[in-house]
Amino acid sequence: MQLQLNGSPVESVAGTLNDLLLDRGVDPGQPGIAVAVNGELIPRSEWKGHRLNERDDIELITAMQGG
Amino acid sequence: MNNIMSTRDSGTGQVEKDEEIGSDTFNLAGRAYRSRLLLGTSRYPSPRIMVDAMEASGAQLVTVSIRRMNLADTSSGSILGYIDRSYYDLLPNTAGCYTAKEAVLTAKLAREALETELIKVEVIGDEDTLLPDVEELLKACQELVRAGFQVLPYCNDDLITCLKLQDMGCAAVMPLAAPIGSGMGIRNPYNLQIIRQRITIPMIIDAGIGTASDAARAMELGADAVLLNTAVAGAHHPVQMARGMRLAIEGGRLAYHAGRIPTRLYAVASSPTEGMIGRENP
Repeated sequence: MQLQLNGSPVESVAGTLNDLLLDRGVDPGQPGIAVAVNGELIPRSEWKGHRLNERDDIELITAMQGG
Repeated sequence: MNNIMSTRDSGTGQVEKDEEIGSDTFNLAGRAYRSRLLLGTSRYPSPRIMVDAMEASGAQLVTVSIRRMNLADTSSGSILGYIDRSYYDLLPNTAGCYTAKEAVLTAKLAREALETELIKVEVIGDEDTLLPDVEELLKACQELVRAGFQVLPYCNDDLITCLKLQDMGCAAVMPLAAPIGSGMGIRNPYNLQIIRQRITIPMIIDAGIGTASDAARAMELGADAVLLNTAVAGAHHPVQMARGMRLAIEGGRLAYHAGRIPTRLYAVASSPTEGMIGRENP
């Protein structure tokens, strides 16, 4: 399945958002991260149940330095 | 009006002991802070210097941005490893957003990631000046207030915008002193003074502070707090500047409460004019 993750195309067999994070080496349990799919926030509690679709646009963020 | 300064006992002329400046708390979004300095976490020479500067500044609230995770190295990037959240409250920002839509989504991601309702809303209208896009800013703030955020908008030093932001329920207004990172200091003190007099929510001076005297001036004008970043991070000695800012903000706050003397065109002697040697007594 072709997805867009943080602005780059990725090919993944992950069925859910949680699977995609694991697939990309991201611990879904770590604090300080959040995800939006197609411009909508997906709360952490829904990651395991959130099914991904072809061409979904996923943003995975964390806190960085800022003023 | 003030509750932090010593009061003179008119009977004896003795000065009562000063109360601690710590009793002059800065109340923001239902929290009480001792420090009136909000510090940014960007552009320090190293994480170590950032941590030391944060400590030297006395800040209790520090800003962070929300950015894409570096998927090439998932162990790097986040700043959270350097910030003791049992001591510092985080103030995430929407820096870099050019539309209300972007800012609202960024705020929601920040709340989810950092478990805080606080959000510094920045909606930029021009990349060279980084001045706010007022129309988009108001739209974003309205939506975020409705969504339950404690909204701290970075805004122009414009009374009408600040009144609108207050009326829609923002937790504070954060008018700029000068463009972000410019270090130009307070370019229009009269606008800030008017805003302070006309609004009831906290006014935090955000952006444009260059050195300690700028921060002191902001506090003397009646600002409730100052948010700065580049002035500390970009100084030759960030940790020293952080302490300088802390002292300046405390000094400016005390001066504001103390009430400055009026300015005069001509001199007024401070030493007694009677009893001068070599002169005839009147």
